[in-house]
Amino acid sequence: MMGSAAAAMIVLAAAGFVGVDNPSTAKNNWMLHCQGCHLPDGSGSADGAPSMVGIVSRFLSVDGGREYVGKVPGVANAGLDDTALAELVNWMLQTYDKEHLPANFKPYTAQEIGALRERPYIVEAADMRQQLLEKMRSMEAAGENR
Amino acid sequence: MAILDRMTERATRRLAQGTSRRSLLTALGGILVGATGLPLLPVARASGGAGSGYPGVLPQSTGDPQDPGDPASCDYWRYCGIDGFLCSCCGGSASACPPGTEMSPITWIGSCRNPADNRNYIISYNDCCGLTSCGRCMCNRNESDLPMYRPSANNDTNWCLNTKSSVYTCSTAVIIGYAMDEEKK
Repeated sequence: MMGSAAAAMIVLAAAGFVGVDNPSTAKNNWMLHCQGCHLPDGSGSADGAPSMVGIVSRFLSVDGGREYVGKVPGVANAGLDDTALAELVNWMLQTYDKEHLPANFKPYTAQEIGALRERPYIVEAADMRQQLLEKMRSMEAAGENR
Repeated sequence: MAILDRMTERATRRLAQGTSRRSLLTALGGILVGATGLPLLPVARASGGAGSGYPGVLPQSTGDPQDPGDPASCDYWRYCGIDGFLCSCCGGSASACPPGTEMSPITWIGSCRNPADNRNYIISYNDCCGLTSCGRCMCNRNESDLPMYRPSANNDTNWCLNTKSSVYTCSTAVIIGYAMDEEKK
């Protein structure tokens, strides 16, 4: 029994999702709640929902970025409970931008997501995004962002 | 002339002696009954749209028992959340756009239960864009449609976004996956 439990742990580690109970459920929820605008590959569109690919996890490395990801309207207003939403966000970060995931990445918990989505961005999301992207650029210029 | 007179007289007498005065009524009655019976013939029914429920639209089939129903009918299972003209009636199909239109990549997504296996499937209601509105087979079912304040699940929006033209033509219902049942924790 211990052996099979250990094997299951290894399989989970190989799948590589932290903070996601069931990647299939998370993907299912991505399809139902996100990909209509962000597209199946997460690439988004020029004037619409922004791309996730190669960018979304970088928000976690700048001040205010972790809050931003929990408060953007698409996340905060999704028709999911806190647990499912936290799993979906964790899955999304690791699926569309695994390479920029911080080394000390702590997955979102249902409590954290629940608290963030209580005060969602309404019209300020685009401005916040620009500010955070500026921060990323200046961090890169300063060489802080390895 | 005398020959012509005799021939006409003989023909007229034969007609008068051989037919009853009521035969005219018989013929008229036959025409009347025949005229009312004509719409019951299969030809008339086909153009009446008895199959799909839309006038002038012939029944269609997917040919797949796992995908039952008529894609040219609003009752087709995949259309459970649709709001628009069925591309099946507009030169396209339930999953393809008519020639000359472009399928919008931005779309709204819902789920429908397939009566063949009783499972839920994720359905992407991609709009086809670029020609004038098709105007055939209007279908508005709205299952799992949500109000405008949940924009990602609202089907009253014109979803012709990120396409060359934002003119709406018709709607498809593409299967993009199985929907998992909500797991209770």
